[in-house]
Amino acid sequence: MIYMDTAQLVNRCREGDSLAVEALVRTYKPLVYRLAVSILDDPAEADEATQDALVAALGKLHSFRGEAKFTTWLYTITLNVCRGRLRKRHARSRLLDRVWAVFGWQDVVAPQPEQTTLQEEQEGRLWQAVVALDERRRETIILRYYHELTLTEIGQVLGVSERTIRTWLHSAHEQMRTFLERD
Amino acid sequence: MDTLTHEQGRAYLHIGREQLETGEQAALDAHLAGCVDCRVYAAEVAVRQMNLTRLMQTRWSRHHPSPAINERVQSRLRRKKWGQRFWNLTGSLAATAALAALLVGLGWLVWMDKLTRPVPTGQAAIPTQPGPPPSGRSPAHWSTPAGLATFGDTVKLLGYTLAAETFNPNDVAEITGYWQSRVLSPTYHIFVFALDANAAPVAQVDLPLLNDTCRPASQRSGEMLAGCYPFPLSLPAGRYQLALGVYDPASGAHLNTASGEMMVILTTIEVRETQPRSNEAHPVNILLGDSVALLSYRLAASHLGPGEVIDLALSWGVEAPTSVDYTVSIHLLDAQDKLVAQVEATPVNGTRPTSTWRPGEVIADPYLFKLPDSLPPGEYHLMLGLDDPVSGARQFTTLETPITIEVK
Repeated sequence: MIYMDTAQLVNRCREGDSLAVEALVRTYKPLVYRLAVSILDDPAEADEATQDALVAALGKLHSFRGEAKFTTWLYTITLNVCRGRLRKRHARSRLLDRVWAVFGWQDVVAPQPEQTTLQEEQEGRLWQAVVALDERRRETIILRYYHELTLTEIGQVLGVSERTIRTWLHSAHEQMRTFLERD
Repeated sequence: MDTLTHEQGRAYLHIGREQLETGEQAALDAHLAGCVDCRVYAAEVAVRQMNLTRLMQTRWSRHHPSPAINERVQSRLRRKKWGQRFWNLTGSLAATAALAALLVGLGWLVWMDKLTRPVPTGQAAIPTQPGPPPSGRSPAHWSTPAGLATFGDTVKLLGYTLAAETFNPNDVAEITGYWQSRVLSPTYHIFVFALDANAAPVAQVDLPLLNDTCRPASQRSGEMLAGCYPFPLSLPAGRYQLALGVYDPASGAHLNTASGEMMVILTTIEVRETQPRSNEAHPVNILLGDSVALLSYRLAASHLGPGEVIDLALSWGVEAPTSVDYTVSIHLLDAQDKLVAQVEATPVNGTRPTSTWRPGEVIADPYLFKLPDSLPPGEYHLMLGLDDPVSGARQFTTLETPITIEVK
């Protein structure tokens, strides 16, 4: 595979060069997937979202003006694709809940293994605390502590100011602390 | 002096000390120095942040994208393109039907007019004004209004493009010819000769004048069609003239130009001396972060032309496992250390993310990096590094002897 300068690669993709498109997909696929799997928490769906995001990005290359880093721009697209999938997932889940309510079915609770270490239990609680956050605060936590983005970068990806990210990060910590202290 | 409230101190701890401005950091430090409760809380937040990172790494870092994604994305893009073409075609058909009705009407008027005049026999007339160059390409050689040449009084070469005029031995010169469309016979062939200093042909290609190797973009114009003629330059170093002619393969007859020439000279090209390829590995042994060391590099050729390919092979040593999928950054800097081109890539053509590297392994990581076509001559150097694509954190090597590329 011959690598090209990122700006040149983007330009050649815009011109419809299929080799450049292949190079771009190969280069940025791991990055897009890593974000998708962290937002969707489902490796199989993350594969599909990665395809959607790359196709969407290639279709919108004309709108990339080079003002932000290419990876930041790609992150924003990927995040939007993942949000769309999450909304569909929640809609499906709500529909199933209603069906269960109509027919009086109970949600099946998976049997808990008897032997869980204290660490696993604590991590389980922490994960529940993350899941309990609203979408924007959860995304902020994931982008900060898994993807290790700076507050400025998180603001660029989520399309809000750094000041807002500070507020969300602070309130996310407060909510997680309250959740963890509840029991 | 402590200027923070406990609430503000906690907010700063949540944001993270390294993300605060200098004044805020100082205020936080002053507050923590005098507040035991907040120091305890700072430790609690630090543990929570560490646990969050570990939890998410455990949960997601072991997953990798399916290799089939590349093909699926390409396939979806192809389907999308064909879908767009279908709708474009549907729109075009409607417009064509309207145009055809108009032309039939006009044709009838012309025919009625011609009934009273003698009909000239022979060739179709050739307009004197060529159409505009195809969009998206800028021909290196565009014709005068009369065109470069007219062959057999029927086929008109409006212009041609050639991406470069200097080549390495065994390169392929991509010649694109632009022709007047409505007077073309699709059966004609072209031939291109490379002529040496004695005007003797030393290489030749023979191809249909119109062929399907051109990109669709170059055939968009209604007034003009393009033919692409790849010309392999299996030639010794030297200067050669490229000459082009047209003939009818059915009869073997050449179509001469108005001045009686069998072909026209397009341009002069140069084939360079072959550079000896270096297989010498340059030992480096530089640790990047805690996990990975650049052991050595090999650069096949250091004297290149614009648009040519840097052939660079890196050798990585693994000190410790890492959960981060670093990308390898190769930066090309000019003499003023200004970045002129860069590549970010997952190692070993995307097949060996750094999270799969095991301690003790030596990873051979080859790169072919195409120089920008418009790179001015001069001395450039390469910077190598590892880049966390998510956080943007970069670790570059500082080599005692920089990797230098001389661009001619």
